[in-house]
Amino acid sequence: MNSLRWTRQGRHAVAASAVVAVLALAACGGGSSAGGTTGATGQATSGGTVYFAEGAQAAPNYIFPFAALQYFSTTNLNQFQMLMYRPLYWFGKGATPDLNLPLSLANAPKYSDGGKTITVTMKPYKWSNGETVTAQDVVFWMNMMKVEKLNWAGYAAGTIPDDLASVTASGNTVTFTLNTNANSNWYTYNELSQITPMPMAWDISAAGQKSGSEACGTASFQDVTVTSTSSTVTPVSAAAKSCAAVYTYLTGQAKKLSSYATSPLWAVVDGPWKLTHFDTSGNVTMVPNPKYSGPVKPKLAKFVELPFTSDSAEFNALAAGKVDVGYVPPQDISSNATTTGTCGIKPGANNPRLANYNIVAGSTWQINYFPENFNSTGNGGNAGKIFDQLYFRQAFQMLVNQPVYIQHIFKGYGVPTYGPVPVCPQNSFASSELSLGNPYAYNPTKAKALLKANGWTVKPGGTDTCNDASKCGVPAGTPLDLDLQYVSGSVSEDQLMQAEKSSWAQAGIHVNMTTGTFDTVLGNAVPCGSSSSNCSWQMANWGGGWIFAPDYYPSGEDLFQTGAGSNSGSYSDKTMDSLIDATTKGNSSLSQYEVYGAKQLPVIWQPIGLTATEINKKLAGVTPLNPLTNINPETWYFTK
Amino acid sequence: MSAGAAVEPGAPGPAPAGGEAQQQVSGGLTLQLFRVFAENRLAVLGAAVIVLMVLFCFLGPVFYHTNQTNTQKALLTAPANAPPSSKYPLGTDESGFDMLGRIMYGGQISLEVGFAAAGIATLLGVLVGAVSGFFGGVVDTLLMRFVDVLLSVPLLYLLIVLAVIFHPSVEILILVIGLTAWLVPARLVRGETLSLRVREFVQAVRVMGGGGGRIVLRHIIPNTIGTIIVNATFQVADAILLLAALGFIGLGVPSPKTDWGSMISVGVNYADSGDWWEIYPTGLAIVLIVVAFNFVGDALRDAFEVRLQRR
Amino acid sequence: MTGYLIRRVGQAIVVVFGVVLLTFILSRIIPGGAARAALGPKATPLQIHTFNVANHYNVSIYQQFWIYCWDIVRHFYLGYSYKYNQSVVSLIEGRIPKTLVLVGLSTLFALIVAIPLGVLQVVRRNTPVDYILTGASFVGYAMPAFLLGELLILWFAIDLHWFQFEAPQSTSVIGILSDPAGLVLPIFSLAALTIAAFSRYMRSSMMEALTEDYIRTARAKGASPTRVLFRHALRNALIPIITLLGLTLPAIVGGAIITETVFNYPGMGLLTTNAATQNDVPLLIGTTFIAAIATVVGNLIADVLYAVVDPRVRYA
Repeated sequence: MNSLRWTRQGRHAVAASAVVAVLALAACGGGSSAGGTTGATGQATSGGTVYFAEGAQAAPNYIFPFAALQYFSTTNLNQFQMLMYRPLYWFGKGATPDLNLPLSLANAPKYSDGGKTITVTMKPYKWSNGETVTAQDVVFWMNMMKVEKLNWAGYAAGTIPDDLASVTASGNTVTFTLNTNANSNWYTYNELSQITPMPMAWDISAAGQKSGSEACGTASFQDVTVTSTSSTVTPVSAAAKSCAAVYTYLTGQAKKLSSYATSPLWAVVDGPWKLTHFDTSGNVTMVPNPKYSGPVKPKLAKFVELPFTSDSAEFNALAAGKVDVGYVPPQDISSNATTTGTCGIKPGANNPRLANYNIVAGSTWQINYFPENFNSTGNGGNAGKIFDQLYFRQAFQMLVNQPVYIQHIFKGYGVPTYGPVPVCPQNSFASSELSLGNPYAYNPTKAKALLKANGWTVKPGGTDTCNDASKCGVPAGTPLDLDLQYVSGSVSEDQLMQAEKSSWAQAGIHVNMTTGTFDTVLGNAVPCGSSSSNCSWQMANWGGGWIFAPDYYPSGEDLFQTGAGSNSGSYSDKTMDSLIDATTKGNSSLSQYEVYGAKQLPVIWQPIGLTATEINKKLAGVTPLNPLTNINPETWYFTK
Repeated sequence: MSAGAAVEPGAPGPAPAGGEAQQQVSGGLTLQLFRVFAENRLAVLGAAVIVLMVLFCFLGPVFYHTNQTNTQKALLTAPANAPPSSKYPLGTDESGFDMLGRIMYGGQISLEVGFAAAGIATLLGVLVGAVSGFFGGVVDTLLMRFVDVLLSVPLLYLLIVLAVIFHPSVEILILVIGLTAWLVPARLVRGETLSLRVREFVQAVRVMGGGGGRIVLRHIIPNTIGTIIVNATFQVADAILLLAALGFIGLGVPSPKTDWGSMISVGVNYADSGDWWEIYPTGLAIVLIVVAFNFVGDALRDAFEVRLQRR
Repeated sequence: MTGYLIRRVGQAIVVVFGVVLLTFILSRIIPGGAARAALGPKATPLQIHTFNVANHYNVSIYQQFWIYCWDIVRHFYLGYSYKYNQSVVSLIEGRIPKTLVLVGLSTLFALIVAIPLGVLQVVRRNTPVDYILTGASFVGYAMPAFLLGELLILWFAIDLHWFQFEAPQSTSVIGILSDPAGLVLPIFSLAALTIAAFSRYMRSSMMEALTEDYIRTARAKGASPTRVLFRHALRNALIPIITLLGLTLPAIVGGAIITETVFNYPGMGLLTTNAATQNDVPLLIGTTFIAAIATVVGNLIADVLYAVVDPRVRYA
């Protein structure tokens, strides 16, 4: 029982980063459209304690919802904070990533005035200390965002709160006025999604103060004024300075992990659960919040999260019956799952030691890819030019055999990526055109033909050379020799990359593979250009792709627009820019952008590995699993 | 006695014999070495195992072809975790690679890194130790303080930190292991040099006008050869174990190359489901080669220890 | 004696400073920078910049070193782990007692077994008993620690079900000690290698001691073999053991990295490997620093003890 086996967590193409690794290890995958098994069919009982397995090495360590990026992970948000502190809008309905109004704190946002005015009416929710969840609680969050946006995980320049001209609270209504055009869908899913109302009990800057004693929570959005430069935000007004003080106090409290369960601050909740025990090893105990105003009240008496330092320790706990909802580590999957359609995952027989569990798997709301550096100076200055050629990217993608890798490397627990919008789980954002299939399905013959037609001499097993500069796009004689660095420490990533390397070699595309630690690979995969001192990296794969949270609307403005912050490869295309603008600022749906992105290959799409969840046969209400990895233990119950 | 000590942070370097090994003046070096092997059966056994293992790892694949690098092919055509059969004498691993072939393949890396790292460590250690011991003064103080600082960090820690910072490749691993292992030979050689430099023959060369560098190279180092050889032998064994430890933690050679430690790291996951072939043969290989080096090293040290010979 | 002490302590301080410098350099050569490591792939350049400013990565390297040293001296601050949201010191603090228990108990066990074994090997020199024990210690010495641990788990925990497959997971020392059955395999695994080392040491150390002149003198004076063995040889052979013990102090704090990792024992060694595989560089550097300081202290104590026992050393 090797505690080091957790390193094999990477089987499902995941690297050791807070957000990425934890997400894939989360004990929830999305329910497939075929529906995960529901398991228990006996009579419902109330009470009982459920034991939930945290991901290996992934214990919650941050309780304050206004978290900086380093604390922004599934473990902290979806498996911890959100059970106690409800976000304004809840995303994830059944097996889809859609807006879930019944679980939200407000009614549907009403867009008017060309989409520039948003009216949000709060529902009559109560905090556990008797306060009402008011519109002012929303303003409290917005005020803090204005002053501390640089410390907010979801902040990107020009987006919330920068795009707001005003936020006003009147009664139980919040009115947002934008200072720019925005697509309503995009704004709801990517901007309003970032708001979590905070109670006045948090509006203090020192212990013992009365609720609401600081201006931050009581002031209006207008009264909070700051001066900003491109990299600093300085509070100007008294209200703004008060926000800085409140933020300092709250984050200071959030660093005291052992006080989480006893602090009166964190005891003020509006979600179905409240914390009764928390320790630094990761043991979490929650009991139902009797003052919860939401639609579904918990039936269980207790919800306990257990920490594990390794996959194998978790597996043994499962086998011993100590865990009710857990996950099965890849090496303990005894039989492959079968794929039905594009997204359907039908689990195979469960591991014999897990006879008391149902195995369920579903997609997560993410895409997997690795970028190519379009400005690369590698291969004698030709790497970037090679990547620029669409025919090359097409041939390259056509040699990636996603279905085979899913079957053999992920043992059937995986889904493909065709484009910038996830095709799985089946969702309303996916274009119908792409659900017909992969535009670049595995086809080595076609790949070779494409290269040949564009001036390359194809040498299977060797290295192609360009024989016609006018067709290749690079000087004649250039070898098709490229570098790729991928993340080490992950068995599945290893197998995937090596398999693809052999596949590319069939068409004479010679890829030199090196590995690097997660931060090395990430550190290298930065946008660079002619002004940079070193732009020699060619391709980099950190194994995690992109997870859409809290940007639930997969619109690509962070990834594929010219100059976007996470546009590692410096991809730049005018059509792409205008298509993205149309989705974020105009009225377009994602369809056109998605199809264009899938066909233009701004990055090379990769299959996504998934973790299979094990659910106690006597526990019902857990499925369908949510692709955003939210958990709703208030819907779970034991059956007789 | 030093092999395992390097794996667990502990006594740096061989036991009491350390700084006190003296050189027989009579009899050439080769003659001495020959006598060691002629008299000590364990040493012969050890040397034989080493030679056989090297042949097995490097020549074996010539006669026994297996696919060890084409992952896609292995995934698609070979059964994963298959038990030993006529087609796969030692079964297959989780990707479908033939285990017997993989032991040869991994052994190449383990042995390469072992020898190369020991070589670097010995070379560097001897030079630094001799210079430091001979010239003394500021040079000595500075160098030895530097060695002290590095020696303070338990070896495995230093290795882990370096391996995490510089992403592992075979060359980096050789450098990292070599550059952390030179400290012990440096200390040893310095100790020897200190006692040698006051000997008459050194004074004589000085009187005759020999320069410092010449003395170090031509007289000091050759007279410490005994200690150096003994230490170098243990260094190889240590390096192989260190590489295995790193591989086990997950900081070993990157795919598609592999080493014995990484193989065990992967194999352990399946061994407890009964797939014994994924760790026992590899484990045996490691133990055999390290024991062999220890036999040889022990015999050499016994040979170069005058006092024990006088018994 | 005091002169020697002062010189040694002075040396130790210089070495400590060297260690501080070394760990600082190591912490600053993370490729990709600490920001990327902590924030992950979704970090925008702005967020990276904010992080760097907050953690002083944007000032000159000399200023950074000064801040680093001052933090250590002032509040013994060794850095912050974002993966755990705790300071490195508080993480290590929690783990050290457990590692002390593990290595302390196994060293004790090793000594109790190894010293008699070493003596036995000398007494029965060149007999089958000696050969068997020597052979066993060779194998034990050559066996990688992780292999031994895994084999023990395979045989005794999984196949025979005599013990559990991992160490007690309790967060407190009392909790760990109250589950002695769970400690058997880890202690034995760690001790096995120490026994192999110690008994070899004892054997060669005693054999050397037996060649000393004072032994010949004792024999010439008619002392019985037992008296020679125990009164003279053993006592003198034990001296290097003192040094050895002092030098195992780094192993104590270093946490027997491999054994803890194999058995999932929640001590400092496991913390280190987790930090390594998670690329939690501040934590990794922190544990390395502590291990280094422990080594310096250990060496200092060993040298002082050695000087107390063997006066010749003081004038070296």
